[in-house]
This record gives sequence, structure tokens and C-alpha cells, in this order.
Amino acid sequence: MIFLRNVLRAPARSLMTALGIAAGLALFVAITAITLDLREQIEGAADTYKLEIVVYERRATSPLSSHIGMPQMADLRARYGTALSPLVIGSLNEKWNPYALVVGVTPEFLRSIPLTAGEHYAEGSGDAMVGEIATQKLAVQPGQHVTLDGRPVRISGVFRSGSRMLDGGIMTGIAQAQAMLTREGAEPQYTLALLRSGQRGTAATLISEINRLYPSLKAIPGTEFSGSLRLLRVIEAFVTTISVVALVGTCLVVSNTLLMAIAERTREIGILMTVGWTPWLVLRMLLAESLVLCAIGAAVGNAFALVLLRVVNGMESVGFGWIPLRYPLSLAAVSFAMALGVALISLLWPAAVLYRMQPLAALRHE
Amino acid sequence: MNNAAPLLAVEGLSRHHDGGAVKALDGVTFEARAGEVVALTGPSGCGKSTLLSLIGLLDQPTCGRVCVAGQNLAMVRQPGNFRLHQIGFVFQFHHMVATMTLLENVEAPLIALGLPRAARRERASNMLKQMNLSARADFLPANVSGGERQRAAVARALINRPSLILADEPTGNLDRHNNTIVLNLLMAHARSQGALVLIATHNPEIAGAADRRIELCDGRLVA
Repeated sequence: MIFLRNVLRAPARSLMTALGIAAGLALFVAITAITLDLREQIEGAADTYKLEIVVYERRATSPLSSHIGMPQMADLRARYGTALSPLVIGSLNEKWNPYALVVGVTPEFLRSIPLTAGEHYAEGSGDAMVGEIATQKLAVQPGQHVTLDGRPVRISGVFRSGSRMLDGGIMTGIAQAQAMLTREGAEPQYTLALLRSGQRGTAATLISEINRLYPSLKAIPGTEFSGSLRLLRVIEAFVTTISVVALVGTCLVVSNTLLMAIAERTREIGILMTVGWTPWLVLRMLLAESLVLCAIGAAVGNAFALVLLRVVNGMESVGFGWIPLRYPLSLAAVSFAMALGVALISLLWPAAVLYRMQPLAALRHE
Repeated sequence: MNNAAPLLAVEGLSRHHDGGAVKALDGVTFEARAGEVVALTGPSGCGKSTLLSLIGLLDQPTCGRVCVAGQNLAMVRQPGNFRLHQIGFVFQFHHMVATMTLLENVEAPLIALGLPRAARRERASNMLKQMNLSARADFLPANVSGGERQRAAVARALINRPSLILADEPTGNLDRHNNTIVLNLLMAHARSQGALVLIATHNPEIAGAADRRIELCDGRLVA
């Protein structure tokens, strides 16, 4: 195991290099895990509630920042009846959760939400249901009250939606949600509407119909919902940028370590070249060292990422349920593949140095 | 008198530096035959190491030519490959790789040769046995004596059974006992394998034991 002995030749430097790789990969894994999870949650919720068609304001940058006025929603409801479910979505800055997600739903929609405790609230009661994660954080039971928008709201039940984001928030009636989320003096509004296909036509014909009849609205298939969220697009761009920066930094760290190894072992490399080793053989030895460092870095990086997610998840300012505590094995596999890529890319510069090296000059190196 | 074709033919070999201001080697011509042990003597800086470097394809001559086994070295396209098959090097300061055991150091040329691991191990172990170093095979160079290191360096030089051994002050750092051992090993190889051993040395004992002596002074052949 010559390469292991070489790695252990400068243990502090090898440790620092492995930690540098770990930090870069941990950053990549953690933020990718958050993005993947966010998309998965939104797509999961869309799947759970069978979002066939999503209708939102055309000029809104994303469905969640959409505003649909009362008259227009009334018109939509008159046309599509119970197949259409208006939704009011927003967040409140509460002491117990700075991003308390509030979702206002219709009684028909409400019935599709499974409960783990208590019961669905009665329409017009002003009561609310609290998500499973929020109830654990708040330590409230059905029948107790939480403060929302400065007023006490009775909790009728605890729901489990399958989406941690929703489970960290609250569901209540449309009117109650509008009252909480609309600024004083402003006209109450809806955020978006969900439409099911059926007697009035297929999803494609309904989408086409809405886009034709309501120029100020936009209808999209539920499968495109997560992709249309500006938040996700911004996060994905951010993740890509951070990942590239982290990986370039990691490559530079490993390259630097290998260049230092070459500088320290120039004479030994000269000896090996003198006895017939080609630069490729020497490079292969360095590749083994690079792979060891990157493999250790990837393993430690994944451990770091899990710790990082747990720490961020515990930060109350982030909000309940927004951060995953684990991530798919495929992401860990990707991180190891990236470590392999780092090990290979990092060899480019050292390879150029090795191929220029002359055995005699290397032997005379002090 | 040996009438066989020379294994090594050096003709008008020069190596100049700084545009000719420094003449490390100047018009050296000589021949040496297989099975010979030739001592290369002369004061420090006379050009012994330069000559060995040029013969060993570690450096390029300014003019002149070197032929090994009839092959003009100027025509060799892969110097590393040529060294691997034809030349063994022994240096003054053993030059072992610190993170390789003695066995791995001896095995190193065989790795370049592309031999399978088992075959490499067997051949390197046998070579260490001949050097009476079997008990030290798994030791790192730092954990053995200077004499043992140099014997291992000789083993590494001989492992590919080269036709030409270039030894640059191989006993310069050894005591008298190890000096004799290393010299005997090199001479035994020359005799048994029919190899040419060219030894650059200051040591009169080695020079005296060699079959022939070539003396350099200021880059020129004087005897």
C-alpha cells in the first residue's frame, strides 16, 4: 500500500485536504438535499391532492405569488362548480414560527386531508387544523389554542399531508385565511385554484378553455406546478452556482496537495524515472493518493452534510419542516462520483508538471 | 585481448554549458566491452557524473555520440524504455524511495516492465536473497543501515539484468566492509551476466580492483 504510506507521509496536510474536500462536498450535498426535498414535497403534495390543473394569475412570477380577485374566483366557481377548489396560501411571522404557513381551503378539499388526531374544523367556526410537525414543536393538542395573527385560534385536529412544509403549518377556512393574510383595508384575494377534469372535459381542453376565456389567468397541468415555482428555479440556480464554486475550490485544494507532494518527492520521482518509470506510472501513484483523499473526503462530507441539515433544521428562524434530515442514497452516490471527478480533474496540473520533468534535473533537486 | 565488438562506444562526446563557457565534458572517446569492470576516475568536477548521465540517457550531449550494444543513443526515441531494458543505475546516496520497502524499491523497475505482481515479488525476493537482505525485505529504507540500503540499490540496478551498469560513487558513503560487499556484487554481476560495469569513483581500492581504468581531468580523457 505505497499510496497509503504516501498519504500518511504528511498526515496533517492529508487531513486538511480531506477536510477541505469534505467541506465542499458537504455544502453540495446539503443544499442539493434541501432543493430536492423541496421539489419532492411540492410534487408529493401535488400528487397527494391530485393537482390536475393549477390556475393562477398570469402576470404572477410564480403560482404562490399569484392573486386572484373575489369576482373572478366567483366566476370560475360558477363555471366549474365543485370541480374547482380555491386556495389561499401565505405565511405569518409568529413567535412560535417565523414562517408559519397558512393554507385556506374549501370544505370539499378539507375532506381529502387525513387526520392523525382530533377532527376537521367546521366551516365558519374559525377553528384551524395544525400540521403534524407544527403540533410537535408547539406541543398543542386538539381543543387547545395557538396564536395566529395576534388572535387565539382553536385547534380542531392534527393533519398529516405527506409534505413536511405543509405539516409545519396550519390549515383553516378560506375566509379565516384571507382575514389573516390580507392587509388591513385591502380586498380579500385567493392565491390560486385547483381544477379537476371530469364532465366538463379533459385536462387539456380545460386548460385551453381557461387560457382562452380568462386572459388574466394561466392554467397549467399539475405536473408542471413545481417547475413553475420561481422559488425553486432560484434555489436550483443558486445550488448550481454554489456547487460549481465548491467543486472548483475542492479541485484546487487537491491539486495543491498533489503539487506539494510532487515538489517534496521530486528526487524520488527522478529515481523512479531513472529506473524506467514513465510519467504515467508516477501519475497513477498520485491518482491512487488523490482517490484515497477524495474517498475519505466524500465519506466525511456526507457525515458533515447530515449534521449540517440537522443543525439548520433546528434553527427556528428557518421554519418548521423546511429542511430534510436525510437524503436519498442516490445523492450520496452522486457525491462519491463527484469526488472521483475531483480526484481526476485535480491531476491535470500535476500531470503537466510530471510530463515536463526531466529525470536528471529531478535527481539533482534539493 | 578481447576482440569482441564493444558494448559501449563513446566518440568525441562533449557536454558544454552556458554556450560553451563551461565544458563539463570535452571530446571524450573510449570503448568498453561486455563483462568488463571499468573504473572512471578523476578529481571532483572532472566530468565523471556528466559522462554517466550522457551514457544513461539522462542528459543530451552537445556533440559526439554514444553507442550501446550497437545502438546510437541519439536515435533512441524512448529513453525511459531504453534505460529500463539496458541500463542499471547505482548512485552514491542509494536514492531509495522512502515510502517503499526494500522489496518494493527493488521491484520498481519490474513494475515499469509490466510484469504481474506475483512474478515481480518472486524475482525481487530472489534478488534480495542474493544480496543477503531477505530479512530486511519489508523494512522501509529509513529502518535499515546505509550498507543494506546500498545493497538494495544494487539489487534494484540488477533486477532487470541490464547489459550496462552505471555506478556513480557507489561506495562513497560506505565503510570498508560494505564497500567490499558492493564492489564484489557488481563484479560478480559483470562476470556472470556478461555485463559492462562502469564505476565512477575516487576510491583507489575500487579503481585497483577494476579491469581497466579511465581517467578524466577537466572534462578530458587523460588515461
